[in-house]
Amino acid sequence: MLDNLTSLALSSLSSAAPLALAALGALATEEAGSLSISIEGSMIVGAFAAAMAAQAGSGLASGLVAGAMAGLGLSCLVGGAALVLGADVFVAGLAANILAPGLVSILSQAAFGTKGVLASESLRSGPWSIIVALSLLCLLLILFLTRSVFGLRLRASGSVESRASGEEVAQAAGISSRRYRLSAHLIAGAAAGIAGASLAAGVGAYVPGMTTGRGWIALVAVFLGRRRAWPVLLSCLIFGFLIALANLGQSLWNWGVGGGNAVELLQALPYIATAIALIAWRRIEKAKEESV
Amino acid sequence: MKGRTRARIVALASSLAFAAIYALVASSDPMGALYAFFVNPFVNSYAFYSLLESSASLLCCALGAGLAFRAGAFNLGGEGQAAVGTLAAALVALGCADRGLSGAPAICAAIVAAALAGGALALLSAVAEEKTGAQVMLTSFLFGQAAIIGVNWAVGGPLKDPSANLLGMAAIPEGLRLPLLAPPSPLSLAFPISLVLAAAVIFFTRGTRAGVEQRLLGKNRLFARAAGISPQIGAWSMVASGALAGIGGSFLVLGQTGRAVKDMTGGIGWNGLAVALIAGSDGLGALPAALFFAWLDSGARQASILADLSPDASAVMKGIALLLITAASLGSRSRAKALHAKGKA
Repeated sequence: MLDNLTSLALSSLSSAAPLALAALGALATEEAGSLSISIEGSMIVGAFAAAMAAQAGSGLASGLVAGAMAGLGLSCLVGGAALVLGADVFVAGLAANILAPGLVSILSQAAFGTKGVLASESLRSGPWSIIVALSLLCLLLILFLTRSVFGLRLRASGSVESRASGEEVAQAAGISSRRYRLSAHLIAGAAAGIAGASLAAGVGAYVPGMTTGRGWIALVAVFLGRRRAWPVLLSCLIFGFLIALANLGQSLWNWGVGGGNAVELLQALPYIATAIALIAWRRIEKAKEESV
Repeated sequence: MKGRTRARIVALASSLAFAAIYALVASSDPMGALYAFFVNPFVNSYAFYSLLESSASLLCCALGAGLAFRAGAFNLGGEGQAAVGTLAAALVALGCADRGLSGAPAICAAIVAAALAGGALALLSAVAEEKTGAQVMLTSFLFGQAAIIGVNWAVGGPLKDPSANLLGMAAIPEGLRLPLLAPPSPLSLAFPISLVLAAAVIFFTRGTRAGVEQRLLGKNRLFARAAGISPQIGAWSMVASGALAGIGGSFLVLGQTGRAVKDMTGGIGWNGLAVALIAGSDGLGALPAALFFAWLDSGARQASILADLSPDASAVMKGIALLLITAASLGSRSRAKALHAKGKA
């Protein structure tokens, strides 16, 4: 029992840590007033870049750096298209998410002759070292967003509370909101790239489709956490706990249903629970608004 | 309008330029690769008919995404809605086969079941938004992901055909599949049906009162409410969006593949959304955009078979096209200025 509980706690943290870092990056873009949709794509290229760097025998640290660079590169594309060429930021982000797995597949085939799993043993790291590394990065990012001059200006340029006047406020204060938005996208790309790299480090390989929509969940966490750093972090922890619970359930029980194991359906739990939480939270908020 | 056209041309040309550069750099036989990509899908009739067939499901998903988009909702659950469509179509078709039913009514029943399944999944998000304001963009994705997990489990588990090697349900008998139009190619009735659906969507958006109201709702919710337009049009758009994605899924089962297998939607929901965004919000552009995407897939596949390239190059090309398609400054200067004046990110 106790063994199960500790392993549940550990695997909750392991699932939550990459999610949290990606979500905090997305939060930066949301605060700047232009939410990045390309988190999922950045995680994919980040995971692949880490596995690729590890082919040269490097370990966790350089894997994470490689992931950050790759995520940064992808967000440069999105940020460039959206903020320099004037493309719709949502459409450009979606484009990056479609482009990323294709790009990875092409590179993988050209460099390693495989489109499938890219094993990289030297990257494999224990859960604790990944959790500690990502937690430190999360903490740094939170401090940066809430305490630094840059973070405050970032918020001014997006001004969530009064989006309409945010740009004017920023301009009046002499802040180029476009530059801050671009920086926010680059931060988000790097954070998501590191998050993706940590996924690859956890299993010691790049596996196509390994992000399984985590980038989108990170965006949901931004909304669930009401666009504030600590609640966003809490949302990620809860989601990580749900993933861990689903995994634990799968390893403990077996409810055979006509040749299939019904416990596999637990995999859907994090998505359904998150949707219900989102709906319930909006309902409470709406009721509050109406009573005022 | 002129600026928009120019932006589209630049976006599509960049995407094709990538294909050319990729072929030149990565292939040992660049000319063969270029021929396989650009020419083969059109001169080889089998390849051309397969291209048309695969554009059918894509077009349905794109029409659906476009309808939701017009009403101001981002339906990110197209993939899941198509997945439940595949399951519903297969269940009804196999159920009909068990009762000895076949022919047009049974096939129609399978397609309608797929539409209902996809529509019902989208309805969840629509109701959630109307009752609580939970964003469709988020809930449709979450419900869609959960549905994909459920469908994959059912198809590869309790409903799996024990005699088959692959993770999938039993094959749909011949009399319950969409009739082939040009055998041996996979071109089936799915393509003409998708054209009819496209015509219906265009008629709805341009020729009906509800279509105009839908557009107003999408442009400005507050104004639409003030003008007395029922917000239910938004919910119905979402349901129609899911239903069209479900029909797209049913075409895969009743056409090309002939059975429901695990992970069979393979991104048509996301690609449908991309096609809808490239096409703009009018249904008219969806057909050429869907054909363009189907061509990229077909060309990349040909190039991978005939010359040693990755079939996934098509994903990169789609991404490049989509990345630049809304870029205002590739269009006219005035449009770029207008965008900046609007303070759009």
